[in-house]
Amino acid sequence: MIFPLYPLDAFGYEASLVAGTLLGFAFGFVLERSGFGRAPVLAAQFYFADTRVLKVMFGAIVTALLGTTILAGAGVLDYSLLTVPETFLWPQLAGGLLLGVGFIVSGYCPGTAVVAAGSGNLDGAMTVAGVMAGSLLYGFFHPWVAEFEMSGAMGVARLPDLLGVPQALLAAGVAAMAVGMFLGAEALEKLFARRRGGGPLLAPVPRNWVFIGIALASLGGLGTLALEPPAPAAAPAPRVVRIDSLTLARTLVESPDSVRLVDVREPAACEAKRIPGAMCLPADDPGGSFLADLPPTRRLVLYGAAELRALPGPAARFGGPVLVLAGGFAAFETAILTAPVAPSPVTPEALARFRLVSALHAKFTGAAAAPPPPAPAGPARVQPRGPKKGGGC
Amino acid sequence: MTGNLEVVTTRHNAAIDPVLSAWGWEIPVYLFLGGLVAGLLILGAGYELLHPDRPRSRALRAMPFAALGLLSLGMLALFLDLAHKLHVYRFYLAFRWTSPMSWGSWILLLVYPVAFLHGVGSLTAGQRETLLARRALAPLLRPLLRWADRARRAVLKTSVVAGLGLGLYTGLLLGTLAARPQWNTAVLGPLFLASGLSTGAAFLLLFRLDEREHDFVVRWDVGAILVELLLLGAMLLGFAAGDRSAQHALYHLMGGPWTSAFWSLVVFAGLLVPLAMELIGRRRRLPLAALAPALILAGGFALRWVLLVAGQASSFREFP
Repeated sequence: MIFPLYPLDAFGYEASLVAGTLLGFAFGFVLERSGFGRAPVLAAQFYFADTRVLKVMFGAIVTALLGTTILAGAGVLDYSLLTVPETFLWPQLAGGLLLGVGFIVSGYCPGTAVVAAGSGNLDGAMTVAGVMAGSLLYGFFHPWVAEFEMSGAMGVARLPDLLGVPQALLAAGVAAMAVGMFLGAEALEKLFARRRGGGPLLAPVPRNWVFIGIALASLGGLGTLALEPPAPAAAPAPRVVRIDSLTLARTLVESPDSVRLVDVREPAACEAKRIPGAMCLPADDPGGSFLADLPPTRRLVLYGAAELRALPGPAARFGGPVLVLAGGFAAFETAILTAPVAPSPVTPEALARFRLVSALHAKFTGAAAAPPPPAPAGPARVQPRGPKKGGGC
Repeated sequence: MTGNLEVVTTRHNAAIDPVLSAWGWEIPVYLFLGGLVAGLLILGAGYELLHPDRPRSRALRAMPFAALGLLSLGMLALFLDLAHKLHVYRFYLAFRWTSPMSWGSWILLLVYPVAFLHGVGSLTAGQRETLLARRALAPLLRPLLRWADRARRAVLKTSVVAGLGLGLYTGLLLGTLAARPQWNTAVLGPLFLASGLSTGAAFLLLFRLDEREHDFVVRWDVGAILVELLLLGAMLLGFAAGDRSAQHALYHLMGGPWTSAFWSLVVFAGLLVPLAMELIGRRRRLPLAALAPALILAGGFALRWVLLVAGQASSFREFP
């Protein structure tokens, strides 16, 4: 089995939503059982009276980090297919600060607020309402902050790349940091609990087992370094897959965030007319050298005037899957950008396809509506009715 | 050939019926509220019939009036769906025993007076005195109260019957429509009744009941959820064993476009999680929480919504 499952099509979109629901409930259940549905427990973190928030959250981070490191090192997980949000340094710093202020004021972070609301705590419900109101306000004021929102763009920035150290080493470092912080947090807890007249909160035996587990996992992660091949002499030729116009059009409508569409024709031709949603090669980089550095979190789809026979050099160095539009722009123009012709004879399959293409044509050309479907051959007369058939009780 | 016949006989043809997906938000809202009211009537009257000597909480006494309000909201949604609103009286000019819609129209007409009498008979002595002190009401209310008290058990029994009819018919209404393979199953009637009982119980659990009432309602809710799960399983098995159109209806809920809504909202969040919460809550004597009832209500609504939308997309057209 190769991970991640969903990007590798182990199951479909619908099943992924079901999996998300199950994971969400499990997450909420664990948060609730950890006491994270109560603001005093969360706020106690800031008074060093009870640092379980740090322990649980940092513990979860270390577990996920070590787990993915070992899996990736063993070749079971393709890191490049994990979705990593892009970094926009300044807005994320400001947003993080705002989130922290909200955390202290309300006693909850967004996830724990939902858990608290589910536990029947009114303050949790109010925090959720506040998060929603804030998101709405942000939407209203977006034009004023749009420029700031995109400032400090670093693309997909990962610490191993920025620091130039192997992932496993970094993971072991973070794990060591976590152990240090856990011990420090307990020391603080003891100090502050004594001042308040309380006793120690944690039994040492399970704690030691956790530390042993973290140490073993860190060693396991480091051990995978031995498995890694020394730097590959020549990058393997990227897998070029063709995608037809109809599939591409559907993908652009249904999941636009899953692909990055690049028009590799002359910039002038692209500026004149291109597939909606495609980016043109910049005039100062007609070779498209930026393609190699695009984050591999989305599939890269390229097209030329006709079908591309060979990939442009930079695209061949792209980290993720590269697709090429079958027939190029000409094929897409014929298939989608031109109004479809009603099928004849009318079969259910032809009619379904005609409806789909009509809808896509309307979407991509901005036509007000798809042309009306053809009437099937036969004596059936069209009897126009009111706008809606009612009835039923 | 068969496909063409189906296109004609079931009118699944854009040239005959210009709108193939005719029901919007109104019908699921009505079906949900109708089922909920059915559950309220059955549980409220059933509790008193089974335990006539027990005192009843304020919430349970006010329940019939809440049922009337909720049903009126549902009827309003139903009325909004009618294309020819002024023709609504025509439902009451005939009774066709083969038509669930006709049954439903008359059942709805029965529910109003029964629930009203049920509610009036549940008024406390203090409430009666307050109402009888009003001169305008007294001449009408006095004989009504006397009659409602005298025929109390008959009213309660009729309330249970009306509730059963209302709950069953909302499912049968869809189940008898042969043109939609997703709905054309006899399971739908009992399924909607079980779901109505469960949502009615959940609605009651949102209010302050006394301990024995709470126990009674939770016990019935747990039973209704278990029956609902069984019936959902039977429905899916029926689809799986059916013809191609039925199997396509199964695909809608098992891999198709309504899979996540059905399994996440209806089965998991709407049935399994609240069932677990209620069982654990009963065993450990945990204080009453609003989350399980809220999940059941949301799940009950999702069940009708999913089946309505998926049903309107299911047809014989794809199978020439």
